[in-house]
Amino acid sequence: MKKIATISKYFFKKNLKDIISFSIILFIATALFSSAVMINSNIMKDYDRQFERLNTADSFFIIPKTLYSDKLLEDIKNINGVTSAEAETGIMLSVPVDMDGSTQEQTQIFYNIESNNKINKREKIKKSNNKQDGIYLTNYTFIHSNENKNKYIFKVNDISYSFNIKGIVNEMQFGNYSSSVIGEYLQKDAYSKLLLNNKDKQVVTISVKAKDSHKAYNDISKYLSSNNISVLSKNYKEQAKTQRLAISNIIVLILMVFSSSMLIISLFVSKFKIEQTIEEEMSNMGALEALGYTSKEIIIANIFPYIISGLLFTLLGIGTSYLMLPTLSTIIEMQSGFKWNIKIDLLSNLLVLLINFSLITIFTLISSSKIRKLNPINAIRGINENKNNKNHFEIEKTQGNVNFILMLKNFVNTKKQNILLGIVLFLLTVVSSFIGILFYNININPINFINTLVEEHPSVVITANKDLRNDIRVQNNVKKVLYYDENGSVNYKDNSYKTFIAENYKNLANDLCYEGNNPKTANEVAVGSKIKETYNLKTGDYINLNKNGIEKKYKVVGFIQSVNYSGEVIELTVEGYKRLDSSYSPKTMYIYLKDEGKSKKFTNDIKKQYKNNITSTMNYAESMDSAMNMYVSLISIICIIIIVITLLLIYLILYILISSIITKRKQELGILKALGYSNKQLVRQLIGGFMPSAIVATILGFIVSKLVMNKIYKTIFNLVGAYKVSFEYPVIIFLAVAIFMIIITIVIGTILSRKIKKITVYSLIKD
Amino acid sequence: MKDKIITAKGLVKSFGVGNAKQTIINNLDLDIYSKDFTIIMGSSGAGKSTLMYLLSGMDKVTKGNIVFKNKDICKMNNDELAVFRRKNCGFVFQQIYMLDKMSLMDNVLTSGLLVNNNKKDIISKAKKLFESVNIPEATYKKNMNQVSGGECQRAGIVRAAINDPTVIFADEPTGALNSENSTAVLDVLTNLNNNGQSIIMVTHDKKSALRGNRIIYLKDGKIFGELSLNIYKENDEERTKKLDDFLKEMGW
Repeated sequence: MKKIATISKYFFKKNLKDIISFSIILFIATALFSSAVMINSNIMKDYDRQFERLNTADSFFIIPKTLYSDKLLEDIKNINGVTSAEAETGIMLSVPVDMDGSTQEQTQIFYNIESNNKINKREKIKKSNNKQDGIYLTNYTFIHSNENKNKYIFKVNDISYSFNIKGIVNEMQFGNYSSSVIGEYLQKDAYSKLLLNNKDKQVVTISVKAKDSHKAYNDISKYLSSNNISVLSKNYKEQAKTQRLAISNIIVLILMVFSSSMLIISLFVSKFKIEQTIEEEMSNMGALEALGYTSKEIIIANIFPYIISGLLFTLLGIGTSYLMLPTLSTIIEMQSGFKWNIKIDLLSNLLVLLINFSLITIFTLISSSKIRKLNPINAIRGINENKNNKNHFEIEKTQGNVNFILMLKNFVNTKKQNILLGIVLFLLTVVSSFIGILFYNININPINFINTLVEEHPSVVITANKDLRNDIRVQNNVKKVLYYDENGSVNYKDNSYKTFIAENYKNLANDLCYEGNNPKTANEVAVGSKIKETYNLKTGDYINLNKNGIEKKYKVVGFIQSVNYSGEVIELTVEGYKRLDSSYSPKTMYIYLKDEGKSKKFTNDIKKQYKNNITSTMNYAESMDSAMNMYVSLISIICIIIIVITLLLIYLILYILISSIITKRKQELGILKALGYSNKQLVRQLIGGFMPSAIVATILGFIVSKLVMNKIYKTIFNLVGAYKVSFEYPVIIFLAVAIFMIIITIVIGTILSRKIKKITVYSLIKD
Repeated sequence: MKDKIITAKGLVKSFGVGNAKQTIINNLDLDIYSKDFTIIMGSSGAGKSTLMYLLSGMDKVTKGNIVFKNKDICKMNNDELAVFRRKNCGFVFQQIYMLDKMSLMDNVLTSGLLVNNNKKDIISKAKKLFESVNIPEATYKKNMNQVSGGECQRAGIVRAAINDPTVIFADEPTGALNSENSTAVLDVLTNLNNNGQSIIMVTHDKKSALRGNRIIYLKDGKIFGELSLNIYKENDEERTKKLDDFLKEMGW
């Protein structure tokens, strides 16, 4: 062992700089990969743990207080599978809140925090010692609320409310903006103050624990529907989890893809360096074999530095991932509102260590297998049986300038370096294109992101007791007005489903249909992705929908997505819905403005103008803008991180390649300098030698990205329930990424090649 | 009256730092004349190669200046020196230093096309030069590791001569060759000189030194002695004796 260690030490010292580069790449890859693995395993576990600890409801239903009775609660308790149920009164308001500097219209439900709940327990985390009564905000609201964090201020029906922020509350029932309703928790006096002017907004939340949350949710929905009890909001365990952790899942996927690419790059670096060492150290290896060392011993000595530094930097990467997790946790918390407790996760760490160790060992072993084939005598004489001395691109016969021909010669004589650079640039072009597309669709053209993840997004939503469409249509800045209702409900096969109702789906801004068509006639229906999967439905099938004891047959004409409702939605036309509920008359009007920037003024004006007819208004454009700001900052952070890592990777790879070429060709460069080649010419020849592979790799990356990027995004968004990805894939983004990669390769390559300048011709020859 | 092509004044070249500083060339003055075959001799470590590389602008002086064809090459940056070298200097090295993975012809063209872009002209000139050094087409199409050392060195001379340089600098060109190949190489250099090519050659071989018309003997980084000889002729005993006496005097 000692003798192997001595040789190993020699190889380590000789390749120190390159082993450091390999280790840095591996370290970054491991830190990202380990973070992804830990987020994936821990956040889910922690979510479930907290869910259980707070005895969170498996499903809940918010109904107007006027429709609630004790008998209703008893009936629900008696539904098969329901283990317990509890009712709690609250005040449900549409509240314009200041979120990250802009106003967001949110449906909030205010509870008395002092009520003694058994289901949906709340953990108070005190932030202020103010003795006056105040409010405990959910974590999501607290993170995004106004900067001073002392007062929670909003205005409803021209009455202003201001509550001292006492702290935050840990709860698992509502959570974030995606959950449609956000809970806030008032102390007794503050609750009474809010109640004073909002008695008509009182609601009851029926929280249910059940063996099968989805089944109980469906059974209760059906029961409430059959008793004509309108449900203001409802949700169940799995759906809420998907809604809250959507961004977390996307982050995990991005980290996984990026870190895997980096891991592959680090493995190719080790392969390249080991093969180069074999080439350079052939005589020494031959001498070692002649002295009696077996090829197995030489192989172990050769790969040992990579395995040891690989293990060391994997451990460092894992350690660093613990330092990165608080930042990632904050990013996830911004969207999910879920505060995740970071704990040591030995199992995930061991898994990462094992993956890295196995891959490095396998890769380095394969790369050093050539040592087995070394003939000691030939090796000592430095005869490389595989060495190709062919004179490619003969100057005499090749057309073009001598510098260009020497560049071509460089290219063919540095095949291995070019292959490594090609692989790296190809992977980085694809990864950067992925980020470029994400940046474009979130930061530059956010409507595409909105269309993918949310349902219909008008500028303003109003509910009125009179058809105001024609009146509003003629107003300045109004593009269109239509009836649209996202709060219908019908039953199919014993399950109750949220139902979207529109006069004409063609007029909507966001087409949710990812297969087939939206319903056009009263006999047609489109169903959500989850319903399609559950019942194996195809377009052209007929299904029976029912409501309040009335059952009608509908033809399935298409399938729609809905991230917020996990694909458990149904689309009907107004006439189609009326077949099941003849008393239905649309009341919710979606208003689309030409200039959404003026939505606030428009909302205020319309409220004043139709104050006797409008029962509620919502400035959707501003709310969406506010929610998008969060995604924009999130994606901007991710983009910056990935750009920095990409630049670092290109730098490290080019450092390894250019250093190896300068070292290997030092004498040749010296001869060329002696002949009168200037530094500029030599640098150009060196960089030019990389250009064919850089250009081919980026073009390939460009083509592959263009061809598969929509599939990649489809796969990612499928995981969060979006089946129709409304992203655009502009060629200019792919092209810009490819050009950026080439330019950055030239710039970094030129900077690194300046090493040539520092060496005098004389020393090049003499060394 | 011969034309001065290089004038070196107060040349100093030191290596190392502080106490470990070693002066190889010590306040040396030297003129090099056109059409001369100048031989630089001296014992090991006398600074022969260092002087040659300083004169050719391959290495930087520590002190002093060198005027080469009316230009102070000590003031030039690396790229200016490279451009200057390609037009004015040809090099023949002891280790030959041909470029790997290239034919002998490509090696010559790599140098020639730097100065003359007309490939046709340069190829034809290279072919003539190869012919003059007795290297047939079949040989110059081969790579350096497929030909003999002598052939390779003669190709090296072709490479050095392709741009009609002001001076060919030869650093012990026969040092790695056997007797037969050495003579062939020296004949090529002599022929070039006879045709007006200025040559500076470093050697510690008396047989090689005989080809020169001016012998400079270095000792401790300074010119210790100088000898002028008439034009080289084969079996010129008087010339040989003159050189023998000079070298004896120098402590050779």
